[in-house]
Amino acid sequence: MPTVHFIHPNGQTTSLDVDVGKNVMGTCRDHGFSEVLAECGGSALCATCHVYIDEAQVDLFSLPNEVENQMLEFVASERRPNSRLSCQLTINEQCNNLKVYFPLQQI
Amino acid sequence: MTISPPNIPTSTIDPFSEEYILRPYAFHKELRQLGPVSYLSDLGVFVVTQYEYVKEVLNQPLVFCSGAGVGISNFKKNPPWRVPSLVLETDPPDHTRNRAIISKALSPIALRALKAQFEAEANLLIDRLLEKRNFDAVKDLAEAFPLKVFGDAIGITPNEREKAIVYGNMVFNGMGPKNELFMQAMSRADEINPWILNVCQRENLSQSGLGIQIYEAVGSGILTEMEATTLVRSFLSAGIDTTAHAISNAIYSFVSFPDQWIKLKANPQLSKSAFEETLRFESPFQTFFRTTTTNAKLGNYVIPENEKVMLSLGSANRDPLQWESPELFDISRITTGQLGFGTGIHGCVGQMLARAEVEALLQVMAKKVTTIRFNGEPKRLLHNTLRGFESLPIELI
Repeated sequence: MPTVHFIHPNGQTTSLDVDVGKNVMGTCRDHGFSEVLAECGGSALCATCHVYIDEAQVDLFSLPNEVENQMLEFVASERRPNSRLSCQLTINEQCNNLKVYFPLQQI
Repeated sequence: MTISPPNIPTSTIDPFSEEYILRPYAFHKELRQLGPVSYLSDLGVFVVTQYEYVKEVLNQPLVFCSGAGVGISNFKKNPPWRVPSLVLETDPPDHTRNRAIISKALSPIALRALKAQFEAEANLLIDRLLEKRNFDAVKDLAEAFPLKVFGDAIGITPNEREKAIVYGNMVFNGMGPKNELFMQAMSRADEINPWILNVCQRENLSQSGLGIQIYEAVGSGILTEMEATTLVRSFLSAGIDTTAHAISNAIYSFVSFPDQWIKLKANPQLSKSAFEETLRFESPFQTFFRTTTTNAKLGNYVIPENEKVMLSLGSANRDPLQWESPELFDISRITTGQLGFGTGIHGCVGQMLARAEVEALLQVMAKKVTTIRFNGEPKRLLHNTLRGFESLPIELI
């Protein structure tokens, strides 16, 4: 089971073992990470589950689809090349030691 | 087509019959028990009712396409009654382009700016209704609220807005077979069709609304003027009576489950989850169709190419394999994954706007209203696609 490191804005890290196939946004909600709001419940429509993937690890996921790409324009914290909506990310076999950084703001 | 495909279970249930429309849940159960897909022999269409498979179909838009219509009619065989929607009834890549234009207009930033207006209007409306005390919750509350706030947000003329309800009724009854409900809904088509296209014209939209923003895509050469008008029309067909039925269904559910109303009053912040639970419990959008573009595998079955597949969102949202005690309205339930707005590339693009509207209304009601009760017999709406009420006489104290 891949270990995923969630890095909070204050620099603290929470490391979790996450099942392959699990959604990153869902994992954050299940663990009560308040940094992820996910107002639309996972439809890539609210831009409130924004995360930064470690720059060296962005290729672990397929590129954002059009709906996500469009919505990333509206994230509350700066959009960077490694910005993703966590509702569109599914943990795969290669995700061991994945680092997911929470942005300062979602709204 | 009268011969059922090999191995796929067959049923003679008619989802457009009055019995089914009024009391769908026992029929849903029967269909879910038949398996991932069954064939409705009287209509010649396939039906998917289990949560897992409804979701699977929605997430495979290239295999189960929308371009041949999302009602029972197959546009490849029968021409549609209106110019098809540029978002609802299209497939990628056109769909991707058009949806992006709408989602830009409905951006989270634009919505945040609208929230204060929704709250202010909700306060005014509820104050007025508390004074009136006895009224029809469908006309005076559930329809009145989105007609005002959504109409203003899009920026359409304040005149004759109730015609948008008539139009929505045409669009969604029009997704069913050509039965009496279809004919009845279409009876004013000659008057309503030109009206809706007229209010969606560039020169008839407010400069400060969301509708006019669609026309920016004409300036940049992405859309033609006519396409922009058709896209603005999508706001009006999709965003008014659907929201109205959701509000009626919420009120009906709260009166039917008074403990949930007490829960909401104690914590108005539950408005958000109350709306989600309403969409799960009494999904305003009961059904959508897709059309197979190939021999499409679902579970252990294969649906032949170019066949209509009915998706029962209402059934998926009450599938006991997905939901614990699905027949209970529970506003503190975790509703993530409810399919009331659909999901995938055709998931409701206006869902955040609808949420903002209804949450504002429920919050104001939770703060200002002590008691809601029926003061007459609720009358269910007979409708080919939507679930709601014809009238809902209530007393608000």
